[in-house]
Amino acid sequence: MVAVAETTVQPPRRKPAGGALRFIGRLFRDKPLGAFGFVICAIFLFCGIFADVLAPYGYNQISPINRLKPPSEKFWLGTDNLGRDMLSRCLYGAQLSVIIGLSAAALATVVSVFIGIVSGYLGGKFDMVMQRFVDAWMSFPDLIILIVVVSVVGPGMGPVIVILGLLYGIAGSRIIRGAVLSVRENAYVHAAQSTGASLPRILWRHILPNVMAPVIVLFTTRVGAVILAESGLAFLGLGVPPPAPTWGGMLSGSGRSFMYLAPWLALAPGLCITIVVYAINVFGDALRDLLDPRMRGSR
Amino acid sequence: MSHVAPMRALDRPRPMVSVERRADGSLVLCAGRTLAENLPLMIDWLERAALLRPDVTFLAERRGPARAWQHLSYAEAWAKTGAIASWLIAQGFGPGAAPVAILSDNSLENALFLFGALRAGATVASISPGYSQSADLARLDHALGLVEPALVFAQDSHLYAAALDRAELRGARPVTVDGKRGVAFAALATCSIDAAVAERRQHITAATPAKILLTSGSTGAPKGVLNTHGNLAASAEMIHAVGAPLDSQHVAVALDWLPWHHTWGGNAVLGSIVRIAGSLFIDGGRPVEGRFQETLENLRELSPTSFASVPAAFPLLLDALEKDADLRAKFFKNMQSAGYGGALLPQENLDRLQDIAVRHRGARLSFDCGWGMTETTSTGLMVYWNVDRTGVLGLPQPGMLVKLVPAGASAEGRYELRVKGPNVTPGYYRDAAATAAAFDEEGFFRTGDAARWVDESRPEAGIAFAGRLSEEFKLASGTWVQATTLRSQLIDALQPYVRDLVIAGPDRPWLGALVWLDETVCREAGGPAFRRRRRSDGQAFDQWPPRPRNPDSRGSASLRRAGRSRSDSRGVPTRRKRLMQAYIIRRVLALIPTLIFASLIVFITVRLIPGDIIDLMLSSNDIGADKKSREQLEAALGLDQPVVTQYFRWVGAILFEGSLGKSLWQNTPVMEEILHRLPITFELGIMALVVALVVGIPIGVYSAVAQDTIGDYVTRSFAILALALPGFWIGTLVMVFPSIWWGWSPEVKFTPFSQDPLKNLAQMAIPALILGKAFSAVTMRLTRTMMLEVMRQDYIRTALAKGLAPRTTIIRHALRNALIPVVTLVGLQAPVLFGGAVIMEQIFVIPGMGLLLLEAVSQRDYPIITGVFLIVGVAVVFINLLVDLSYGLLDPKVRYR
Repeated sequence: MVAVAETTVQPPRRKPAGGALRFIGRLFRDKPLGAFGFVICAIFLFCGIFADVLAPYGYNQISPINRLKPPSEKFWLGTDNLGRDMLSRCLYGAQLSVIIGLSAAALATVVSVFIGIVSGYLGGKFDMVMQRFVDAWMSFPDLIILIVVVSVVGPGMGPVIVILGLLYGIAGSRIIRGAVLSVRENAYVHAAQSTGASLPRILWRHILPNVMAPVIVLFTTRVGAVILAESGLAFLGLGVPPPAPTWGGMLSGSGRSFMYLAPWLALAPGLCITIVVYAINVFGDALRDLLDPRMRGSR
Repeated sequence: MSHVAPMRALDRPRPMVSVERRADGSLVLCAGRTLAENLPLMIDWLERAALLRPDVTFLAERRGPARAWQHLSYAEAWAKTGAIASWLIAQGFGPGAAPVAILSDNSLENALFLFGALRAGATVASISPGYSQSADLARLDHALGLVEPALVFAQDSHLYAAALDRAELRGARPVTVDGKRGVAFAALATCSIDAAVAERRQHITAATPAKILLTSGSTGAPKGVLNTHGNLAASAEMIHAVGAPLDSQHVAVALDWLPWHHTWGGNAVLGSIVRIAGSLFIDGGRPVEGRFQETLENLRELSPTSFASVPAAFPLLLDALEKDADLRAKFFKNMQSAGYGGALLPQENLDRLQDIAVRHRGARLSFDCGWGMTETTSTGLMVYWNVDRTGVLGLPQPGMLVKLVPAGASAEGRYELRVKGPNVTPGYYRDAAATAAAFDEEGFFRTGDAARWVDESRPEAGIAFAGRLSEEFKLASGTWVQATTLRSQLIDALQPYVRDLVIAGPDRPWLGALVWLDETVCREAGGPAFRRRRRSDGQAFDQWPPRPRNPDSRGSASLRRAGRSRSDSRGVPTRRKRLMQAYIIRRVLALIPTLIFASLIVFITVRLIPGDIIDLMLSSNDIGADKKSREQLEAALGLDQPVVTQYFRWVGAILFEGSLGKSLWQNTPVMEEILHRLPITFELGIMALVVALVVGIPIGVYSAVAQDTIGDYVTRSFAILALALPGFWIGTLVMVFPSIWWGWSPEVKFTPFSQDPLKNLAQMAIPALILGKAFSAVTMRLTRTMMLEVMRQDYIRTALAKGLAPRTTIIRHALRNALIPVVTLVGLQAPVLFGGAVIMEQIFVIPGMGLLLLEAVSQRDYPIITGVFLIVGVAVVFINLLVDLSYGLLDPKVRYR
């Protein structure tokens, strides 16, 4: 009986450390496809971070002798019309995609969380006006906003990150707002209000921690969307300007005309985009199913 | 009565009842006998069965691909429940600790877990598996919130994945039989049994809570009914007390499908089996067409000693018995009694069954029925003598007190039924208010059911059911119908054609309503019945269905109808029409703020973003820069005005002149240029839409119908892949590879539709296919989700149950409803299509809006950029408006409010 008394049921506890590891364990057990996506994402992240170490050549190392060489032992993915190694360019491209993907998605998430929390929690006229604005914003195709804004501010890494961040941030605020609406009416929020907690404190200490699941899911799926949008923009020649080795950019511009001679130019960058976006999507789906079942079936 | 054949004499107690008539008109009934005090508990009966009948089958369930019976003996059950109890005790479960919950359907492990928990003294909440498998999980959420279990049991971690997620969010640990989630059931069942289990028995009394069962939830949210160990023991004893005496040589065999989360299956059936150490074979069949075959096969194989089911099972059983002599022989071989419950059995079914019984074995079958509810832990009243009619509730079982309170003066002979006894719940779990309201001043539980004497002069003939006091009733399937709510909802839904209606149909498999139509409105609508009647009135007669007539027969049906509705001043717009008009007006008004914001976004983006357009134009040495000065450029763009003036001028020009300014390059009106290009982009978009629907819907349906098969996984993976594949890459590949391999490349000189429609369509086909690819993936995913949800609906089950072919059901019933939300997808995807069109037009050189925009961007032709930007946004807003309005037309459930 003594032993029994010592092992009474614990109250629902928060999982601090070890939670991430246990979560990954669950991911591998329950969502094999999601786990596969997770592994690819990890590889992609690794390639992006260590591109300088991994790449056999520089991304803009021109070598006229080796122009348009098909894939070989020396150049695994062949070379382009300037004799640059495609593998190195793809690896550096991963680096750019990691930088743009993570920072734009982070910015988008911050914007979404800010608008979503303030609009959802305050409600009333502010929310109404904000929602009409978001409605209007969402009627513009992403790509067209991007094209128009880039045409005004000029291309470059900074503008692309800021625009993508704002673009997806405003659209994503809907999801956070929805989550806030359901959290807002919880007893602990009313308790905080009645004890006179300040607005920022309520938002920061009570609302935000309880919408973290959709926030994490939103961030993950946004990384994929940002990478896809950025490569589309680069494809149209409006992304980060050359010679930066963006995946989208490698498929467009001057390289275009050489693809008939060297079809491998058309394959590697497209495969990179597809695999990474696919991996992020399946990982994001799995994450959503595990973390926030309410969002299941949404996209 | 049609049955003249004798009933077999029953080896059962004679019906006895004593009636106390009180001054206030109420009656108190009690059985002639009492129940022993200090009854053994269910866990004691399980132990006794394990000692006396160790090798007898307690439970059996069909398992594996061969569907062979897997047996669980009493000895094994006792050992395994001991192991589970040890584990639970070690984890701190027991009286007063957090409850455990069972989410999944009847199974061997379910029973082991249940009895293990009972032996540990833990309270077990059995939650309907339906709650865990509904789309929104709202009822599961409610149940979990009410019970707050610390441990949840589920058979299959995939099937219950969403439910286990919810439970985990609420801090519960899962126990799964497949072991893929949380604690593996095997870990519990193989735990070493320690002395704590025997010691724990000393602390479990009749008052210890044993189970929480949730009420149907037909009135508001489900309540948790508490059943104590004493309730369970008393209830099993009461059933046994009026049954046939036990035969130590003979093992009772029951075949039963009733779910254990319900009091009938979980307490009456499972409890009785343990009480008499019989064998329960878990029936995988269900009393619906298509799934009853398994029940019939089981009956044939097992020849059980009793058969009981909901009334819906009887027509299916009777049809089979009448046709199949072999089944008849096997069915009646050991059959001692049949029974029904859940709702009232139509008399016709009883008569048919007795006909068969008489013809087959020369005597009628004894037919059990009783009355009970979750709050009485199975039955409280029982018919334990031979009756030849249905609807008799019986007499109180030993230990039970029944109070009959006259229900209103007008309802002569109708009494409200109240009960008291050791089987009656102590109250609702964590709901003191509902508990207080449920018991009267003498501690009788108010059942809400009404009863009357079968024969006032002969109390021992029992009491019969006389409806619910409130207006709720059950269908033959056991489904609750809230008549009052349903009536008002139906009237609402049938507006304006219906004046009033009355809900009918208790205890039938279908629901009926007696309807008073509004004749005038129905005439307006022109139904066939009214047309024919008008002829007899000597008025105009329209043929139905209306056929085209030759033009000189001037009274054409449609013309006359149109003329009447326009001229007839009494032809008030119908209610739905009025609501719809109001809705359209509101919806259009709501566009105004959206459009204002859209224009502001365009204006601000192009003019106020840091970085001066003029600087850009001058620095890039673009058009105009060499010909025009900064001032001229500013004037041309209107940038010399204050910002607010600029905005209103711009908006004013659009609204009043329909002008978006002039192109800097060609000096042509922007509006003209856009209107010229818009149809091309629209054509591309519509073709992509067609691709998306033609590809996405059938695959989505297939994926839903073949849920969780390899085909489903493959199509779903492809859908995610299609979303990840960038259109511009596919476009590039299509341009490059066919050219290398076959020397073929897509046409790049655009042919307008008006010039050569076929050539134009052929040219647009490839970009449309690529553009529709991602959209078809989204369509497929949504169609699949919606199909899965719709397939779970009652009306689909009804369609399948009435024998409609699965194919027809899927196409005619499921798909039609599942597709409604797909329409909204068109609105949501419109911007995506426009965005994608830009890239496709660029790759395939199609002179649409996208190419116009890209050309303008490269030439920094800002009036065109602004114009395209605005028009695309406005087009999307209007597409969404159309989608919203058509949604209302497609889905009659949409309310225009």
